[in-house]
Parts: sequence; C-alpha cells; structure tokens
Amino acid sequence: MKAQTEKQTRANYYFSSRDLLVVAVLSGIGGVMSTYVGYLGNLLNRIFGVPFGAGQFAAGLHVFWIIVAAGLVRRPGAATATGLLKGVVELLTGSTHGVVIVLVSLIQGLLVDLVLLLLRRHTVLTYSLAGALAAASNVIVFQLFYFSGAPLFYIALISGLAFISGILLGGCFGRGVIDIVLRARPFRLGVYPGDEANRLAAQSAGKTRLNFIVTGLLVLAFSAGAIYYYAFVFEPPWKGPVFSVEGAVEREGSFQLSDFAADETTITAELVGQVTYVPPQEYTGIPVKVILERCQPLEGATGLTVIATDGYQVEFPLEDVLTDDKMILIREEDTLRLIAGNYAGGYWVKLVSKFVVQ
Amino acid sequence: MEKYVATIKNLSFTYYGAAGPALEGINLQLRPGEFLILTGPSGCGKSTLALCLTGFIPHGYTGLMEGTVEVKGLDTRENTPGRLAGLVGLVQQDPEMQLCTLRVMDEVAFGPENLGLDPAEVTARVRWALAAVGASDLAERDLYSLSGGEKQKVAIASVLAMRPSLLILDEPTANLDPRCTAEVLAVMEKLRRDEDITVIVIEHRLERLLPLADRALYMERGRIVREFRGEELSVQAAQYRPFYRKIDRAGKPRVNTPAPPPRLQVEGLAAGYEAPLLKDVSFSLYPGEIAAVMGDNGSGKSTLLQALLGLLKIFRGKIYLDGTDITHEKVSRKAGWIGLSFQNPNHQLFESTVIKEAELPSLFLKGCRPGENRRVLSLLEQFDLLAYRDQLPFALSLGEKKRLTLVSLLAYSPPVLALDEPLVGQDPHRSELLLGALQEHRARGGVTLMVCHDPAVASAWCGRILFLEQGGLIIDAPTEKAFALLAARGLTHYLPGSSSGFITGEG
Amino acid sequence: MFLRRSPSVVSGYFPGLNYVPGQSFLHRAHPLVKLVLLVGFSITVLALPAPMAGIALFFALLAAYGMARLGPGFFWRKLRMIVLFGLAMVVVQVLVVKEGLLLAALPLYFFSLEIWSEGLRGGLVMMLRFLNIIGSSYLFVAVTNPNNLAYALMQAGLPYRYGFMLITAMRFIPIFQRELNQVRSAQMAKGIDLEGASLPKILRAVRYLLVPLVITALGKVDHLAISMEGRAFGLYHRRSYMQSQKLTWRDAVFLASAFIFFAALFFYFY
Repeated sequence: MKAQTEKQTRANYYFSSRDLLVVAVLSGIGGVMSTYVGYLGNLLNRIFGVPFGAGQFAAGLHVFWIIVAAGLVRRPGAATATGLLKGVVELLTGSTHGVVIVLVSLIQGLLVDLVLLLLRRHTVLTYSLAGALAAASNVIVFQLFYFSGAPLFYIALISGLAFISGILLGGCFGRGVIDIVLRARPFRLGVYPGDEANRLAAQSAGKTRLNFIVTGLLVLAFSAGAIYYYAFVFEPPWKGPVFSVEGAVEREGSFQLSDFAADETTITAELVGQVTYVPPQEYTGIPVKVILERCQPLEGATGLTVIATDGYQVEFPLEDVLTDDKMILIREEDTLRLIAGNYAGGYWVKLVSKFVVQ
Repeated sequence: MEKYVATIKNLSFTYYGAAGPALEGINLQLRPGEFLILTGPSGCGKSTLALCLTGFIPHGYTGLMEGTVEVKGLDTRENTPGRLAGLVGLVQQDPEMQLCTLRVMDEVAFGPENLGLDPAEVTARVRWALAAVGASDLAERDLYSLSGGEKQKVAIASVLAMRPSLLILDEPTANLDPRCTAEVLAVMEKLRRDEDITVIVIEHRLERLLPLADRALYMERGRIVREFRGEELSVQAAQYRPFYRKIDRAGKPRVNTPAPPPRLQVEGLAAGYEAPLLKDVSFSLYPGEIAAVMGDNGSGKSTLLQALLGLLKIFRGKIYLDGTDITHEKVSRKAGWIGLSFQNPNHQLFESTVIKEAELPSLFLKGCRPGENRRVLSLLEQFDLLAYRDQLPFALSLGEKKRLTLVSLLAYSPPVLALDEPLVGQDPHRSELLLGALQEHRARGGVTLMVCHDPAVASAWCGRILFLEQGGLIIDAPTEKAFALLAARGLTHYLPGSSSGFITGEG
Repeated sequence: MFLRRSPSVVSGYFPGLNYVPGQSFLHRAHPLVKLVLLVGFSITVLALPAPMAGIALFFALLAAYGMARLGPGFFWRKLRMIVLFGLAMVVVQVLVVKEGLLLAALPLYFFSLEIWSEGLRGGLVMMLRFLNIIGSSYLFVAVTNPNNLAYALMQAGLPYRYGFMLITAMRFIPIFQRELNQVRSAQMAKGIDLEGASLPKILRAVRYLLVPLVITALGKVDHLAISMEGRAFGLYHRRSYMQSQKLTWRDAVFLASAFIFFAALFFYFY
C-alpha cells in the first residue's frame, strides 16, 4: 500500500508539522481573542468619547500572535501564514469586519515577514518595527475599503496610536512572550536542535534588561518624534492637501495649493449636473493652467486626465485646459476639488489627487 | 512473518539537557497478539518507551539514543514515524489533544486518507475501526459534542484504522472520570477478545486490566525492574494496595455532642452561565471537614467550586461563611475566604518567577508587600519547590505546578479550600506532603472541598462525599454511607477497590 | 470591567456568529462556489460606488438571506449593530457635507438643519457598502460549514497540510474559549484586580491573560504532532478523500446567474 504514492518524506517540507501546528494553534487562539480585543477597543472608544479609533490602542494585540508565530517558527512565510489563517478564523467566527478582516490580517502578516526578512534579525527592535508597521497598516487598509470621510488628521493620529501599540503590545510584549515560551519549552518535539534553543534562551535572558532599555528609548524617541511632528512639522488641513502632476511633463512633482499662492484667482461658476445643481457662486483657487505651466508639458502631449482618490477620473483636451481661465483647483476642507466652469457637473472632480498629462 | 512484532535491544535514551537518562538498558520482545501492561510511577520512562516504539525518538525529540528498536523488522533509526504509521499506533492520554478534525468520521478516516488509500477502502476501514471500539453510532457526530470517553474511543478507532500490528495506549483513562474509564476499559476488553493485534497499555489503575494481560512490566527510573506473568499477575493484583495513608477522618459531629455551627453553608444554590448548570444544591461543612466532590465529568463538580467563589452567575440560593451571607460579595473579597485551585495549573500561573507566583494571591488578597509573607518561603521549602524560587513557573513539571498553586493558596490561609483534582501528577511522597498541609488546615478549623476521581483517595482522606449528577447533589453523606448509597444506585465504578490494583516494584 | 465574560461567548462554541446548520439550497451549495460568490460580491460592492448599484446589491443580498431560510429575525439580529453604525455614518455625512442640491432645511433657533443631496448620497453609499460587505460575509459564514470549506479547498488543490491547519485551528476554538474563561476565573480566584482601565493595569492584565493562554495552547502542539504524524500526516505529498465534494449543475447555474447579475451591474453603473 505504500508503493502506490510517490515516496517522499516529511524532511522535504519547508514547514515541519510542528511549525504548521504552532501557526494553527496561535491563529486559532488569536482569532478567539480578537473578539475580546474588539470589546476592549469599544470600551476605550467610550472612555475617550470618540466613535472609533481609540481601539487602536489595542491594535498591537492583533499583531502579537503573528510576531509570536514568526519568532517561534523562524522561517519567512510563517507570519504571512499566521496572518491569513487568523483572518480566516476571524471571518468564520463572525468578525464584525466580514471578509475584509482576511485581507487586513494577511497584510499584517506580510508586513511582519517583510520586515524580518529585510532586517534578518530576531530582536526586540525588529519585532517592534514589524509590529508597528503591521499594526498601523490596519488603519490604512480599512480606510481604503470604507472611505469614511474622516479627516486626514484624525486618520494620521489613530495610525500613530496603532503604531505605538504595535511597538508595545506587538513587538516588545511579543518578544517577551517568545522568551517565556523558549524557556518554558511547552513543546519539545522537533524544536530547533537543542543547542540553538538553549542559545536563544540564554541570549534572550541575558539581554532582557538591555532590550528593555533600548525599547524604552525607542518608544520615547518615537513619542517625542510624533509630538514634534504633530506640533511643528505636520501640515494640517488648513495649509492644504497634496496633489501630483505626472506623465508627459518636463518636471513631475507633488504640490500644495500654497505653492502657487501668487496666482490665486477667484471665478464665478455655475454647477449644472445631472442630479446636482449649484447656482452661480464664487470660487477661489489656482488655475490649472498655471499648475501645468509650472510643470512644462512636453511637446506632443494632447490630454489631461484628472484623477480622484476614489478612482474617479475625467479627461480634458490639453490645449483647452492651457487656455481655460475658468478651470481652477480649490481647497475644500482637507481635499482638493476641480472647478471646471466651462464644463458640466460631471467634470467637477472632487478629491483630486493627480493630474496626468498624456 | 517475523517471530516478534517489535524488538528492543539495549535501548537507552537521554533527553537533551536532562540530568540523567530517561531510559536505560531496555530489552523487550513483543509477540504477535500479546497484551502487555506497562506500569510504574510518573517519570519512570513509560511514555518515553512509547515514543521510541513509534519512532518519535529519535525522529523529533532531541537527545542521545543508544541501542536499537525494530518494529516489524524496520529499524526506527531509519524509518520516520510516518513510515511506521501503518505498523504501530499510539493513543495518548488526553483525547482532547489528539483529535485534529471536526467530525468523527473525518477523524477516523484521517490516517487512511493520508496513506492515499482508495475512498472505498477508507470507508471500509472507518466502518471496521468504529465497530471495533463499539462506536459505530458516533460516525456522524461532531467531535466537540462527544464526552471524554467517546472522544477517547474515537481516538482509538482513528489509530486502529491504520491497521497497526502494535497498538500502544498511553494512560488512555487518566483524563477520564470513572464512567468514561469504564467505557474505555470495555473497548480494551473487546479488542483483546476480537482483534488479533499486539497491545501495550500504559496504566496506573490496573484491576480491570490485569485479567486481560499476558504480561505486566513494572518500570522505575528508566529501567524495567520486574516482570509479572500468568498466575503471578492475579496474585499481584490482590496483593498490592493503594499508597494512600489513611487520614483520621472528621465527619459530621454526632447529634449528642454540642454541634459547632457550620463553617460553610450552601442553601439551594443554582448557578451557571445563562441557564443554571447546578440545580438546588444544599450542604453544610463543619470545621475541620474534608469533603470529596465526586461525579461524572460534566456533572457540575468544577461548576460547584467556581460557583462558591461567584465566578458563575448565581441564579438562586445563598452561601454562608460562619453564618454570614456572602452570596453577593465581590469575587475579589470572596477569594480571600475561599482558596480555589483549578484542574489545569497552566491556567492559573501568571508570574515570571516561582516566588512571585507563590506570593501573588497574598499581595492581591491580603495586601501584603512582596517578601512580607514569611509563610511563602517555608511552604515552598515544605513542598520541595524552594530550589526553583527564581525559575519560570511555566517550566515546572505538572506536579510541581499543582504544588505551586497550592502553596500560593495555603500562604494566605483562607478558611475554605476548594481544590480541583490536587493529586494529579503527584507521586506518593508528594501526596503525603499535601496530606500534611491539609491536616494543618483542619487543625485550624478550615474546611476543604476536593474534587477527586479516585475512590481510594476519597475513602482514605475524606470524611464526607458530595456526589453530583447532572448538576444536582444526589448524595451527601459520610464516606462509608455514601459508598453504600452509590453501590445501591449501581454506580460501582465509584467504589473503592474498583480501581485500586496498584503494582509497585517492591516485594 | 475589562474583558468581561460575556454569556454569548460561553454558550456557543463559536463566538457571536457561526455556521447555522440547515438544508436550504445555499447550505447545500458547493463551498467554493459560495466563496467565489462572496469575493465576487465584495468586489462588485467596492467597485461600484453608485447608490443605485448599492441598493440593487443590497436587495440581492436580502434575497439570498431569504434563500438561506435562516428565519426572518436572523438578518436583523446579526446585523443590528452594523445597520445602526451605518445610519450613524449617514447622519455624520449629512451634517458635515454641504454640497449638491439643498433638499431640505429645518430652521432651528441658531442655525438651520440642512440636508444636501451630496451629503445624503455620500452617507448612503458608505452605509450600503458597509452593510453589503459585512452582510454578505455573515451570510457566507452562516451557510458554510467550515469543515466542508476546508475539505473543498484541499480537494481543489490546496496542499492538504495547509488545509488541515484551518481545520485544526477551528477544532481548537471551543477549547480555547473554555481555557480563556478558565484563565479569567483563575485570575479572579487569585484576587487579581482587573477593574479600572488605567494603562499599567491594562498592560498587566494583558500579560496575565495572554501568557497562560499561549503556554497552554502551545502545550498541545507536541500531542497533536504525534497524533497526526503517527497517522501518516505529511508522509506523502498527496492524500485521498473518503468523500469528495462535487460541483452539481445547480451550483453551476447558481454561479453563472450570479455572475451575470454582477456583470449587468458593472455594465450599467461603471
């Protein structure tokens, strides 16, 4: 009966059965815990009186399982597998995020693997970085799915929260638990050859204090950086959002409206759309032709595509735009909007992010 | 066909990092169709021997192996457990941890499917294996809905479906209550009668097994020290008694002596999660009493202990301590009066060193500062744990962990001790230590509720038995009378002697 | 209280929502067909921002809930929170966005409550997207037996060693649930005070909770590995299956008609 299948033994597998079971067990328990973590998040939201976001304090707890799996298996791919499996378990046990959670969790796993693969070290620093990036990624992925209309400032803030949580609960705490597991050895089967396990345990025991200090400094530095950034460097919405000009131009670039402050004009325009009508009113902004002139369209370029963050796009003939005085880019809260006075409502692009010259 | 199913020659094995060998100079030959019992104190190397026969040593566990093991002519050094899978099968202690699918049928089919067998052949094997353990009616069930005994039957069937020549059962009843134990023993009797395979059973509790056995081996410190055969077996079974020393029992005081007021009094208690699992339970414990809480798994024993502390929702009823109603006190206050230890010690270890762990409840419940409670050190010493004071609690053995939890409770000396199977993993010497601690607790007038599955312990140590069935307290009586009532109800597997066939190396 | 023991977690073997056994057409459909449809539905929801497309998809979803015969209250019971959250998003959008046509204005003392078409449209789109994605996921989970899903994936080519990771993870969920409760109870029995939500307390609570859980969970790995490898798990690259799940013509018709519906929506709204 053994002859009927090709003879291959487990030695050929990239992940041993034990590796896979570590991943399975941690994903399962991580999936179960996520319900509780979600509850904790809601509790924190209520304490801080915000609709969502404060729960990001707990974001690192989602990444924690991925870090522990990566630290115990120590093979690239383990984090990704854990992320994917944990996401599926969460979906099947009724996550309030539905199928989106699979992608969110998978991306977290990928990021952890990526960081550990690039840095090639398993230390509290690499775990913290991996944990921070992975934890912060969930905010961004959720925004991509359900663009909530929350101000960019708020999104940046909760990403920062998730980032810190990823350092503390994902990286540092994950590392601490990995050390405990290596010392307690709850499993013995096919662990690293004995020497390596002991070396790892000894190494982690010796360095705990140092790791702690380094982590503390890291957290302090990050927090100080974050405060500095938000206090002095961060350009809040009142200064203006960013858009880019690409394609067939001499100088591609990324700009803010304030870069063209000298050319600000005010026009009167009337929005006539299929469902929407806004009577003539005044708009103040920067003429698109000024922006394009600064970037110097190449000879032979014929069209301009205006692309919005939500993927909406419209096209204009380039020569028309370059002579159009009634096409301006204005600021609307923290987004950009194209006012195309000579065009119908459908051409008044909201949430402008990009101009592409063809 | 070979003369022997398995041959072990001069086998020694030392786990990596261990101080001494786990197995030393083992020689053993197993004949086809033989039924062999392997027994001995915990840590004697029984389970390690099972791992050697299945090939997980040397493939998997790291350490130094000398000598050879051959199963059906295949040397385990050259053949991985996977290759040996059709020849030798291992059923482990805890059924919960060895089942890996969601349905009974998938579990039994798991092995044959991994061999890549034809679906028709897989189906035939599943039918046969389930019938062989008398579990054909379970085929369509979900695993989580089974009782412990049913799970263990499925685990045995799933190994049988590989059609092994040698089946090893490693303490297959250790995690089961007496009723489920009886079910699994019946399976072994059936296998002995109907199937022609070699069986090794690793067990402590032997009475029902000895009549089945062709041979029994007694192991100690990694060696086979005695072998019993034929006539000798039944003699040994009668001769060797349980190790538990009798404690002088404190029953309910007789009517004509001035009755002290009860220490702990429970009246009409109903508790559970959404619906009561525990229905209308009433009893009183008097100063110095030790009561055994017995019953099948799921009958509400652990529920009762947890309900006392208010860890579950209390629907009706009252709990009095020294006449004061404490039913609706905060859990953290009640914990100061009722010291609860859980079945699985891993669930109740939190700290990074043994000493911190032992101090933990004293800090939270008595407001002691670290190092302030002197009792902690003396208790650690008394329970052979002081040497580990700065080690990680999780790295201790099961028995040590259970002792550590007890130390943490005794350190703040609550008037009521509620212990869930405190004797698991303890050898006779350590059981004596526990006994001593309970005596001290009695002397201070404390009461103890102890969940235990072993009638011998209940008979030797406890003055009273509380027997639960489906959440109701059906027997509350002094030990002897309780055993008589149990016998009258036909619950014979709860009587002492039903599991008391111990074999020791002496004599 | 932090991490309260909620009754729903203890009662069910799976928290909150899980597979609801049944015999409806959706229950019996091939698991992979359902998976493909879930992905197709979600992509359609995300790709088509038009409110009418969202409404059409929502009615399709309601029809599917009807087909699943989960009972009239099921949708509302499970999605109540999601609907309320969606309505909250609509309200926020209506209050914040003042664009498009002025649909209604309700003069109050200091300001007037105005409803602009763009605000209403934006809010509606968000709410529908949210409801459709989560509602479809819930339906998928309610009618798909995780065991069948995993076996179907393996029979469709997923290497079985990975497929069984999903099964094993699901298998241990009830046990993890129980252990989580045990650890919580043990903490209370030791008087570990978790009430209050200050940061150090939360961090300590997390440590006291996760460390025992991780250690106990990993303690199962050896036993499982022995049990599985002892039954030839991983011996060969391929294995057989006692029962195979086959696509029926009903599955094919179901799949095709759903995709025609998605395609029609794309054609009309994109």
